Amino acid sequence: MANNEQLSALIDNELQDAKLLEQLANDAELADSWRDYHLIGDVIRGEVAPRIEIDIADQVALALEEEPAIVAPRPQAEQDKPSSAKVVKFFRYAGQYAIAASVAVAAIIGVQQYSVEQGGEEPLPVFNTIPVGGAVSPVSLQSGPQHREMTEAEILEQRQRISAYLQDHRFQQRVVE
Amino acid sequence: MRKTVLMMPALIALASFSVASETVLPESSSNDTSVQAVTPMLASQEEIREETALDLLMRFQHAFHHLNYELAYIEVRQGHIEPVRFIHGLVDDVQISHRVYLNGPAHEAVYRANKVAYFEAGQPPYSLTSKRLPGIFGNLAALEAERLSANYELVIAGKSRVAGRPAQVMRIVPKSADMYGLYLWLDFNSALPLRIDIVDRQGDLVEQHMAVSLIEFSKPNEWMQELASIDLPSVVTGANLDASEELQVDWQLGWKPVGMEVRAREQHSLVLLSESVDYMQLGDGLFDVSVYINPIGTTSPLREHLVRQGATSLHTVVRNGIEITVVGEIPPETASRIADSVKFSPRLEQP
Repeated sequence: MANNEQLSALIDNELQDAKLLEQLANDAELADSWRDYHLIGDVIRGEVAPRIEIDIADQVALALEEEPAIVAPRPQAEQDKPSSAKVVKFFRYAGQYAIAASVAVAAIIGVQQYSVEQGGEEPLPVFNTIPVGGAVSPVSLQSGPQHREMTEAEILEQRQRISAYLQDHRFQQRVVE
Repeated sequence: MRKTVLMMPALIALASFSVASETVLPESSSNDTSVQAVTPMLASQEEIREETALDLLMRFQHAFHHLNYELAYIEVRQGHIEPVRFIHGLVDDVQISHRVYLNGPAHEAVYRANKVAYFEAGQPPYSLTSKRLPGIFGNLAALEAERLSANYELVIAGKSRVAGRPAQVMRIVPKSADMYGLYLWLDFNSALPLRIDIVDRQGDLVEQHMAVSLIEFSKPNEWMQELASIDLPSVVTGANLDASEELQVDWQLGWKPVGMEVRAREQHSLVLLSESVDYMQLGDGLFDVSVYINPIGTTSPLREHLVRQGATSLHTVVRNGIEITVVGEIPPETASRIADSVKFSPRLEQP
């Protein structure tokens, strides 16, 4: 929404705009944003009431209604049962977590190419070659079950070792012929 | 359409080879004799026959080494993009090429007459003797096509458009499930490379080199002329080949992917770490694998690692204080399997 920024400015008392106020009064969607923004602000400042009554029940119900059936078609009668709807929801979320997890892996394994390619003598701060889990054995800097956390220096050393091997591999490829 | 850039003998040899591999004849075992027999007939058919994938690959290899051109491309690894410029020319029949990484620290390579000079940030420039032009396109252009077709199927996969040019798409499909495959886009007319996708078994992209512009010149430009005359740094002998020196560890490889052969085995030291390692290089004609055995002891405890950088996988395991590291353009699973297969002499296997 284009005027979210204006709205935010208004909440922060940085903007006095009669037109926006009027719009706020007439636009239900904007009013909702207004309420949410204030709520967020309250939470951040720790001024929130012990019990928050957010009216999401009807939205959840609505979403459930609109949910396309992703399981094989069932008899009508069964579809009415709330339990089956729950099962569908659960699997859906499981699927979403799986996607989220794979996205995270893809994000982690980003490597800055030049840090290895250039292979300088001095240790560069950008040796961020990061291990992947994938379908293979339990590995990675994060998930060693036997040793819990590595110090900054250890991580750096490990990265340097990895870089050394990657660099040598490249070098050996160059030597080939 | 068809360019007859290849020398005729080469064409004949090729034509016979590719036909033999396409139609899996029962007499394929008696390859030598059958090639002799069918060669004249094939030569006459050559005019009407469609260009085979192997023909196309040869045409690319020839064009890559003989034309004057400037190729700007990007290298994509896990979403990280590196822009690169590659220039190639023939100055007085001497091949000149120059590859520059355009972003970040300086990293350039100059090829001239079987010598490649590397200019990299943080270390003095050096030259190596090599017939290969720098970069993945150069590696492909230097491949022995026949060696390649022993381990990979070459298939023409249709037409496409890359960098504003019509392109022919070729697939290089590994016969072994343990290797990556390639898609190769070649300019329709010149057969210069436009794009390479390295894909895993599922067809998912692991690394990409894609042209954004390709300019051909009728004769070498000024920059190529200048590169022809500059002094290149002196040649270093690659690894300090202490072949005479005893290997530190008695070990052998228990498994390697089908088609991979041992190309070198030696001892050298890692530049960055100043540690001496036993080294073995494997190759299947397209991809290379390095195996390192480093008796690091218990002083520097290491983690088991699996690292991927584009198509390059690295897997490290430590067994009995010996660090086994496998690096190569292979799927992580394959790297793991090679590393796990390393066997030491019984004496070392005792914990």
